[in-house]
Amino acid sequence: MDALISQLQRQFRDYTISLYQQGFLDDQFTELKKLQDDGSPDFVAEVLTLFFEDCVKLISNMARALDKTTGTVDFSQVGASVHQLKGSSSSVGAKRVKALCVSFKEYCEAKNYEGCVRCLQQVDIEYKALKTKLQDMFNLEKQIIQAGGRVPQVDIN
Amino acid sequence: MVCEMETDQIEEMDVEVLSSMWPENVGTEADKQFNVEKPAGDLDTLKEVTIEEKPTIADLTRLPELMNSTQQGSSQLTNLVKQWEYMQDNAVRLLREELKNLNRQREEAEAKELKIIEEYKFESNEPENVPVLDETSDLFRRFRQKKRDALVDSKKIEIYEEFDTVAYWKQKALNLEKMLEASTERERRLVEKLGESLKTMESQSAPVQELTQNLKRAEGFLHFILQNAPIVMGHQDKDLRYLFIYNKYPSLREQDILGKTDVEIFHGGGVKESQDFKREVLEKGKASKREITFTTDLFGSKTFLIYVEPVYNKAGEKIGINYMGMEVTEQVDKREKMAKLREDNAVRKAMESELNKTIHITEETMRAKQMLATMSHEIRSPLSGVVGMAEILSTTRLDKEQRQLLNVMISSGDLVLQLINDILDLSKVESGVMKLEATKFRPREVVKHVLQTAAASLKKSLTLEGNIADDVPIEVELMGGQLTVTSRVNEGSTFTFILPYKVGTSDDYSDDQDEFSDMADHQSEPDDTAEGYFQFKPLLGSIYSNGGPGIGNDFLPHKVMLTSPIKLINGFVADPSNNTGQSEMLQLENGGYVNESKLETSSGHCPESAHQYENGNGRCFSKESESCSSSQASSEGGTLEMESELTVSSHREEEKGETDLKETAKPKILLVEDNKINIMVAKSMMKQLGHTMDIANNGVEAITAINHSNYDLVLMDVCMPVLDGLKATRLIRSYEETGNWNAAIEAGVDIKTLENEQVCVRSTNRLPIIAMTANTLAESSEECYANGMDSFISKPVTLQKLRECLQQYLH
Repeated sequence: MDALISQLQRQFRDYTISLYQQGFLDDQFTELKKLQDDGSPDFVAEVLTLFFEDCVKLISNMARALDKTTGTVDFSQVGASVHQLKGSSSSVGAKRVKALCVSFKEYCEAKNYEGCVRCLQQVDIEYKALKTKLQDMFNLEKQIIQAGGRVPQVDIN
Repeated sequence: MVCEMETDQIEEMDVEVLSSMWPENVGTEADKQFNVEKPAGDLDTLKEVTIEEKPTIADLTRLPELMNSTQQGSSQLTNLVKQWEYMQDNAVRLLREELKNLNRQREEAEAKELKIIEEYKFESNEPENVPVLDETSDLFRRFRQKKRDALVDSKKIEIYEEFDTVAYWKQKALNLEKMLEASTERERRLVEKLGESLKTMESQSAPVQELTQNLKRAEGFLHFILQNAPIVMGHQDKDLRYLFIYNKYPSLREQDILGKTDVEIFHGGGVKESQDFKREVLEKGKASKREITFTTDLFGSKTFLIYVEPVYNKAGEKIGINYMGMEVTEQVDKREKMAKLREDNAVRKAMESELNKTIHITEETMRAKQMLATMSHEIRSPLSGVVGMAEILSTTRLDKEQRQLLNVMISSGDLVLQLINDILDLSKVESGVMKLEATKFRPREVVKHVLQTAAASLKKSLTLEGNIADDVPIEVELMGGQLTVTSRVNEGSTFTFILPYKVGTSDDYSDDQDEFSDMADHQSEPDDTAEGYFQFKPLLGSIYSNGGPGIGNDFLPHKVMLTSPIKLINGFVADPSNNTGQSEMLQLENGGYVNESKLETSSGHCPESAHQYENGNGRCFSKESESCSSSQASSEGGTLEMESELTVSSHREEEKGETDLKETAKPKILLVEDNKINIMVAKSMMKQLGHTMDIANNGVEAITAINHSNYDLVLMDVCMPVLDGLKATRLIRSYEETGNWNAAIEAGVDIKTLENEQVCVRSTNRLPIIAMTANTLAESSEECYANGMDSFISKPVTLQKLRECLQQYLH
């Protein structure tokens, strides 16, 4: 049983580090992890769930705002949503999403329609990718706990 | 015997038409036998069987009237008679025919005789000597004449006429004479026979004989079948006197039976019953069977199944009964034995199962007791460990908070140990050995202890104060003392207050469960004057006493979660928000219950009315000798909302110091942020740092919040809808400077007038407002400062940033 646990733990560590290295996550995520303790054991999961829900909502808002068929595109609305998303993503440590939001915002201010649309697509892809990755990481955590071990603290540096 | 009777009868009864012809004593009177059919089968078989004819006795004088009057009798009779008549008629006819024949013959013979005589006469009447030669001619002449006068059959003579000789004619005459003689003779004989058969007609009459034979055969069969059967049959008249009996008890004679009733013949059990039964059948007119047990001196105890049917005459009147009885003693015996056996079996089985059940129950009880003992022992050991360690710990160097926690630990531990001890004494309680005893105790310590443990166990939503009035002595012996325990209820919520108390063993015994209190500091003294029961009415009861296994969990208001005492102990947390000085502040979990009670004490014995405390279930906690009726259940159905009146005012210096702490311990922080996720993260971080925050989602809400209450720090997000952070800060600063919200109102913010008393006029201290910037152009630090922010934090917010901020702006 111990062999299994240590194997899983190694897997978990490697995976987590890879996520950081690939730029999916940044230090803010580490901060989030620090906030998880016995008092709030599922904190990270809860925050991330909320974040992804938020993503969906904001992206649909942006899509609607960028929908030319309803009339003129309201870039300020798009901008507001992007701002929200930027804030959220930076709070949870979703690095790539945040970076996209930055450029997205610029396009908005420049009222660059194609740029916005492109960014929107990319954001969509990106958040989904992140979601999958994080899902895998959580699964690993669950496996470790089920096997009777503890989830190791991953030191990125 | 039968035959004799027959013949006798015949002689006597030749006068009456029907019965005289009927062979009177036809063995049995079983009605069916009057059927005149031939018994089927080989009639001769009976010959090979010895038929012992059972004695039959018949009152033959009565028989004819019986035969005449009953339907059955007469039908049979008519059958026979008809047949006989037929036979008779036949016989007559046959005889007549014979007679006719004879007559005819006779006539013939006479005719012949006449003719011969004529011929003879004819010969003698011829005086003339007819010349021989001439004779014939003369004869011829005469004959010719005679011929005309002669009778029919003169042919024969004509034939012989040809010869016409005297000799011939003489011969002929002689012959004829002989013939005549013969026929006369014959006739005579026939007449004789006729006379004879007339006389002996009956005896020689074949059909009747046959009939008798048939009947005899049938009777033979009957005898044959019944000869060994345990059957008795009989006929009685309507007075139940015997007219006939078949297969009677051998020692009885004819005169013993005929003409008597059952009760006259037999004596003993069952006879009357059978008689009554027969009478009943006679009355009801319905044939039926019954099983009757006889015990007579004649044949001992026998059971008969008897069949009785009433007999009617042609007019429909009852004239008697037919009865048939079969001895079934053995069968009845067997039947009863079987029944009894089955009964015994069932009883035995029931007993067995009962025993088994008892065994099971006993086993289980044993096991339960065993388990109880083991369990308590097991629990006790680690507990002792805990308590021991706690005590050792108390000897080490501890700070105030730690010591307090430790005290709670120790007292709870002791209590639990005590509880376990008492669990083991459960059997004593059940047997009623547990007694009560009045002891001295120290109320303050008790209350303090209770408050401590209670508070410690529960989470913070409510506060409880304990106040003990100053005039309450340190040590109290409850008799004759006044102890009121009240508490304030915070916001109408309910909570439980636990006051454990101990009941020692004394003379009294109540119906209620034991409860425990911890009076560690004093010794219990038996009080001689009092009647020996505890009058302290603890309101609480239960976390300790009833939290233990099996002791009255139903005692408790069901909403209280009391699983085990230890689990409930958390830590002593004070609520700063209710600063009220001296009283001890304790917090309890929401949903706890408080038992309403009035602590009354009275001296001496406690009448029932005095016990008025209840717990949530309305049960009396008192420990009086009389059983206490649960009264005044102020609970309504499922909701046990009661306020407790507990005030135990105590002077505790310790608490004072602590209350001072409270003022500075909890800064009010306001977070102004619209993004949910950011809020969540920031809040969680603050929690880590040990602070709580209020939330506002935009500038307007922020202003409202600041208006409402005093904040020590504001974290202001810059980009927000409705009213962004910079503007909001500007407005707040203007309020600070001018003391009013005019600028805000101008800006369109809806400010409620200052009605809230809790808002105090701010001191010169300025509200620290920290901007949370996303580091965009619009949110540059210069902007922030220009708008009145004191500092900024760049997003994303981290723990470290927050900590530094707090350190800087909160003291």
